[in-house]
Amino acid sequence: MIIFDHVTYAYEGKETPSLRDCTFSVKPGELILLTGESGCGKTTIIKLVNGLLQHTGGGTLAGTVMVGGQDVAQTPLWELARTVGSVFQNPKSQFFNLDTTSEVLFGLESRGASHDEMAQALESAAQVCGVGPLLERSIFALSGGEKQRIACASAWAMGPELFVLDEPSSNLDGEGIRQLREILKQLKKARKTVLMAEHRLWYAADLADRVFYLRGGQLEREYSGQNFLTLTEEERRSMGLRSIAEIPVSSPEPSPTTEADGLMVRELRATYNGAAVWEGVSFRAPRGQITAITGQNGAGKTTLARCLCGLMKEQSGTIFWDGKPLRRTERRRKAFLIMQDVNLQLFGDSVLAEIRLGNTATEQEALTTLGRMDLAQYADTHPMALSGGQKQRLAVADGCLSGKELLIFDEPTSGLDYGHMLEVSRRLRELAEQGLCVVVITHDGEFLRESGAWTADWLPNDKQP
Amino acid sequence: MRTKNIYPSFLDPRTKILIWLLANVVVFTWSPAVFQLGVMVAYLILFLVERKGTMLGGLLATYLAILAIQYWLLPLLPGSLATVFATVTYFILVFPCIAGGAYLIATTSVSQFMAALERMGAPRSFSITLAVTLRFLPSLRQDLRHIRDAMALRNIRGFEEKLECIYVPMLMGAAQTAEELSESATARGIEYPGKMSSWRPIGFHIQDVVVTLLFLALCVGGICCKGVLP
Repeated sequence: MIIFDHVTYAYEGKETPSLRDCTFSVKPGELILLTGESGCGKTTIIKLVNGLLQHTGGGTLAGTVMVGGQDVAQTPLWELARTVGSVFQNPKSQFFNLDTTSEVLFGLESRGASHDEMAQALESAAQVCGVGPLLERSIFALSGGEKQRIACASAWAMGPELFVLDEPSSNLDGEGIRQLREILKQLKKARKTVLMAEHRLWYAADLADRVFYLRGGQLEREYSGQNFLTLTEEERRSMGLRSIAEIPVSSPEPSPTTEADGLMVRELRATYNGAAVWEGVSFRAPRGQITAITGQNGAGKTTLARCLCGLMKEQSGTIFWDGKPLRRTERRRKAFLIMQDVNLQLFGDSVLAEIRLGNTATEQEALTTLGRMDLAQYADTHPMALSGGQKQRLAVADGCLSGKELLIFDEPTSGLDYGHMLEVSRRLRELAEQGLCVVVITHDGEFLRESGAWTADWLPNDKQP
Repeated sequence: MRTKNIYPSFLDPRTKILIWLLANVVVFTWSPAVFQLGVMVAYLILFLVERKGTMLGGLLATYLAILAIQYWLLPLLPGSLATVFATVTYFILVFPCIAGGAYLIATTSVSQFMAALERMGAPRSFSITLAVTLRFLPSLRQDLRHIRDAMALRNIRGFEEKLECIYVPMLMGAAQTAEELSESATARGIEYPGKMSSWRPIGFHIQDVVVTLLFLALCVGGICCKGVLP
């Protein structure tokens, strides 16, 4: 189904190739899991299979990539689309339509399919991907998991033999990932070939026929599905891989009842468009600890974060800081939110300008704070030229220099590989040890375990969805 | 399996574009007030036919609020402030155009729009660009909400400062969205050289003729009666 013959690929303007001398073949009906650290070449392989790099990439390719008997470089993309169905990482930006039904049928409409053909495709997509109840809805009314199901249905509707998925779980919560796993099972049952790149291994490892481990642009090792499952913890960690077994989010613990330092929330209630999002929310987040807020999508975690930061008004209840009640405007000065898409909160044209924005700190103070975040050598760099982890640290530095003591992280590890996830948990621990109050919204069980966070019992039991 | 159709396609997209252009003619030739009102009432009925009551409600509320400013607030305000608010009332004049545009966007799916453009003979590259623009606006609005939150937490004040801060992240976000969007579209065969089809049927019916004639009458009537009626 797929043949890579001594394939080397370098992106436009890059000296070192992202993929070097890669040779493998995939038989029809196999499920192949591509894994390895960020930048190891997983995405490059995916985009060579669906032809995006050969046709729109502008880099240099050596060797041949064959898919379904066709040379990808010689086949137009619209023709490849009949053989290869693609599911991308970011549910936000892979939808071309504003409604779900058109999105599922997008590929068929593009190739001028008949009305009957489309009706059949809708029917079978509803069965395989479970999207029946999602049809005829606005894309923006869907959760991340539902969006990814629509993306799979959209690929399925075109009837391809091969599916490529590029980190499809990056933005999903536990429930969304379980739904994705069901779709993978259906694809296997239908004898479709699947090639997927992924950091999170626990939901897919036992479905894989073979696992390809990439490092530095090379296909370093190939495992059979069974052999991969028997890797020991040490081997897995030294390879820089995330846990193969599922690590469930630890169950909530009652808040510590020590002295009144840090954050305390009592009987909070918030509404959105008149309907209650949650009520009776009470918990503590002491200084010096990492407090985790977990729960399914739709439980209102983001609403809670916005409320704690004073970005929205609570309906009733009180938020205390060191024992004193804080009004909304005071919370804005005390709390800081590090967003999931950190790009949306970096405004300056250099790192130094960025961190001095909106406060009265001197240049010396700013440089000291940058130094604490290991960013001193980037003071003159443009924030957008930093790596993802560096951007996150810069946002933290912004908060610290503005004298914020309550730092709230929204999904800081989504889409991160093992090494970067460890780095984030170490960083958060350091911040807590400096006496800050760290609150983190997450679904990542492995990250919770590594960071030593405790899970707050924030939602009253009877209000849990 | 299908419970309801969120785009019932009462009118063909081409009709919607045509009547919107006609509505613009009525507004910008400064036709007599009764014809402007006629356009508003026509759109009001169209919104109701397509069951977009909530959207209509929002539009009407804005309209009434501005009317209220014009008739009650303006006479009470001191001169300098009144000039500032007077610009708001310009909104009333172009309101039929805004309602028409909202109607067009709210009742047409991206693929219907593309299919209609293709049947009008527009090149694929043009219809793709237009469709992406339609698709873009809502995701830009989402980005903007996050940016506004981030600015509030950073104590960024002042119009100019804010504008500068919005600029960079919006642009970066837009560039990335555009790239990923086009990847996803090309990987699903949007470049197919043959004819596209559309799941939601498009085509002309009797209601298209009736509505077009109505708008045409408003347009012609407005121009002819200019100076005769107030």
